Amino acid sequence: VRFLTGAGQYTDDVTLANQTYAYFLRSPHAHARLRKVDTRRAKAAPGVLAVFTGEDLPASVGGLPCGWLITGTDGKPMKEPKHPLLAQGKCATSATRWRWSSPRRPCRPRMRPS
Amino acid sequence: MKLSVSLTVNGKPVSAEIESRTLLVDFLRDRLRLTGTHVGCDTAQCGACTVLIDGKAVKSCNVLAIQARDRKVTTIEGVATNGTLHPMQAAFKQHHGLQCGFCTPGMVMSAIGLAAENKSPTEAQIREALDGNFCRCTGYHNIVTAVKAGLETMES
Repeated sequence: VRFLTGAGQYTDDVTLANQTYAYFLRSPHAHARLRKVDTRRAKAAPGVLAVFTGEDLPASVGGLPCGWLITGTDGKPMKEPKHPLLAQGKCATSATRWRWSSPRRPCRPRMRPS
Repeated sequence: MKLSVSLTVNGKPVSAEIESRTLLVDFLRDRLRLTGTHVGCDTAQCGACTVLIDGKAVKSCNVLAIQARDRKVTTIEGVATNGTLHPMQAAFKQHHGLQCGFCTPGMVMSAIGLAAENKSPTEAQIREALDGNFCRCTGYHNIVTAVKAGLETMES
C-alpha cells in the first residue's frame, strides 16, 4: 500500500542532514575506448567534493561480483569478463577527450548518504 | 529569476518563491517533499512523474512549476481520502498491478487521467493510454487488468 500511496522510500526520496550526492557521468557510446579523462574542471567546480575515475580505484577493490555464479558441466567456475566498478580503458567514449559539461542538475541520478 | 507562484496541491493552497526554471516535479519533491512523484528518466519518456493538472495527466518533469500557477495539481499522495484508497489504487492492490512500485504512482495518475477522457475504454485503448508509462518490472498485464477494474469501480 505504501507504494500505491506515494509513501515508498526510494534512495532518491531520502533527505539527510549534510547529504552529499554522486553524479555518474556515462559514456554516450557503448564499449568505446577511453583515451583520456580530464577531471580538472570538474574538480575545480564549486561544491565538488571529489571526482573519481576508474584509475582512482586500487586493484584490490576488484570488480562487480556476479551474484549467482554457476559452474560449467566440468565443474569449473563460469567464465566471466571483468566488470570494473568505473570505466577502465574501455566503455567510456569514442571521442578523443571526455569533455566535462556541468550537468543540468548534478544531484539527480544517484546519491549516497554522507 | 525569482518568481512567486500560488497553486493548489492536493486540495491545499501553496505559495512559494521559486526560480523560474524550477520544474514542477522538483517543486513537488524537493520543496513540498511529496516524493511519491518519481523521476525515472527526466525526459518525459517513462511517466513515473505523472501528476494531474486540473484533472489532466501530465508529466511533471516537463512542466515548469510556474506553468502550474493558479492550477489544481493532484499527486499520488492526494488521491486517497482519509485513509481510503482511491478506487484505482484499490484496483492496483487487488490485481497486483505493481511489483517494485517505482512506476506505480505514474501509472495510477495516468489511469485516473484516462478516466476523465474515456470512462469505458477497451483494453487496446488502456494500453495506448499507458504507452507513456514504463514498467521496468514489465508487469503490464496486471497493470492493464487493474486499470480496467479501477475504471469500472469509478464508473459504478
